[in-house]
Amino acid sequence: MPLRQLAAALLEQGSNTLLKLDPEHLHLLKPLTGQSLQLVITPIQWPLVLYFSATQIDISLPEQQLAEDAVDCTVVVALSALDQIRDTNNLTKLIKADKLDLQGDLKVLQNLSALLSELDLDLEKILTTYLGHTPAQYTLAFAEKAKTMGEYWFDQAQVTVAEALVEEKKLVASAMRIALYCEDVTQVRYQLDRVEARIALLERQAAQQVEK
Amino acid sequence: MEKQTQTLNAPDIENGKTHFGFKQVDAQDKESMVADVFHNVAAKYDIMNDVMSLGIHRIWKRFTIDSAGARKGQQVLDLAGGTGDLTAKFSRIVGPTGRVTLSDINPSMLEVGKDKLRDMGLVQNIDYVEANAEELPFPDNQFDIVTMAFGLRNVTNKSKALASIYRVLKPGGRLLVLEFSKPTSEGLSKIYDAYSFHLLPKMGKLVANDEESYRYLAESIRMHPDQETLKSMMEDVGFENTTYTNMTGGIVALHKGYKF
Repeated sequence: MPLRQLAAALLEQGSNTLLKLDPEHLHLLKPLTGQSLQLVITPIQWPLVLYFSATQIDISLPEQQLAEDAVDCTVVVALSALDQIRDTNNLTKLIKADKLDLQGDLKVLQNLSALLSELDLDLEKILTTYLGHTPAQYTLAFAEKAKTMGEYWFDQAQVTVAEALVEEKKLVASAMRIALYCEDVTQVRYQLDRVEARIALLERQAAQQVEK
Repeated sequence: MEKQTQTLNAPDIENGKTHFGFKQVDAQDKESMVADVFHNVAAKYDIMNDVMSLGIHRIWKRFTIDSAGARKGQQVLDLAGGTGDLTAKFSRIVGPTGRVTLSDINPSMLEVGKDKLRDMGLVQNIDYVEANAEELPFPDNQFDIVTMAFGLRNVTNKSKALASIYRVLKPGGRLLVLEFSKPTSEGLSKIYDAYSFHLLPKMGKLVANDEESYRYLAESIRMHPDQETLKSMMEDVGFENTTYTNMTGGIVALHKGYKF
């Protein structure tokens, strides 16, 4: 089964389900209707193409990056800067930092940024519809707690890894030391070869004396 | 099961006779017989596709759309487009400057497609044309892309249809034929046969109250040319760089050819 198409279908279904949870989604899609945007995330280099229509977003994951004239706007963005493109004020800064490359109509990206920032997803209201009021409250409280714990663990892990790297670095042999060690090993190998040759010579001489 | 493998790759028309599923019928009658089948299944066509393929037909169609490489402003013909699954996607991809023509020989299927697409709000760049694939009512060199998903096996004279498609394609244009084909492994073939000839007609009876039409669908799949034969047929009418991609173990294949 073509997995790329399956992934695109799931992504499209998920995105449109989320989008339709906002009662204003048709209004938000209006400025983007009929336009298309290609998003290429580096260093992964997997293109994601979004086609906007009046009622939904169609998503495609082509094998290769589409030509610039195939879509209205192509955005090549570094993974680390992905969350920053939601704010259009960051675009110039990101372009200067070589984290963002834009081809085509900038307005499409601006409209998409506006859609993402104006999208009003009231999680509590959505969960209440499906689960009821109390389970929704518990779920959100649990999610909040999990998020806080996750962030704490992530910060701790970052500190531990950073400390370990600093301490390990002190113990790591320098390039010069490694080169000297390799030279010493080579010298020992030569000396060993000479000793072996000498032993062989002495053995041959001892054997000749025994024969005489 | 012996009959099924023997009849694969049978010629379209011989002594004025052609196949309708496993039956031999007068070539001139096949068109109306196929029309009857699709008239019967039109209303439940989408739901039956989902039930029969467990929804996988949507992935096969997505693969076809991605392989078509459609661009903004292009002209696309979705031949035997039925209920318009491909047309809906193409309509959004080619945008307001492009045009998609949904064509089907069967007015019932076309009507279902028209209603569905209008309900989806897709009205601006779609034309609906009732047409026989063997004699397409379009000028030469009109379309950038022609797709035919699960339609070619129902055509009486497939070579004539392929030649007609070749005529309406622009130079540089491409044809994509998505169709049931021959499973690549013997084990899968046996499971597939059991499913098609025993389970599928019963599902047809249960969901659409029409066992016979779904028995025909299963038989017509077995009578359709295999991957290599269809590739040769496309090359015979002039298509170049012809390739095919098997999906789901060869149960379905996507053939692609260019007009240069």
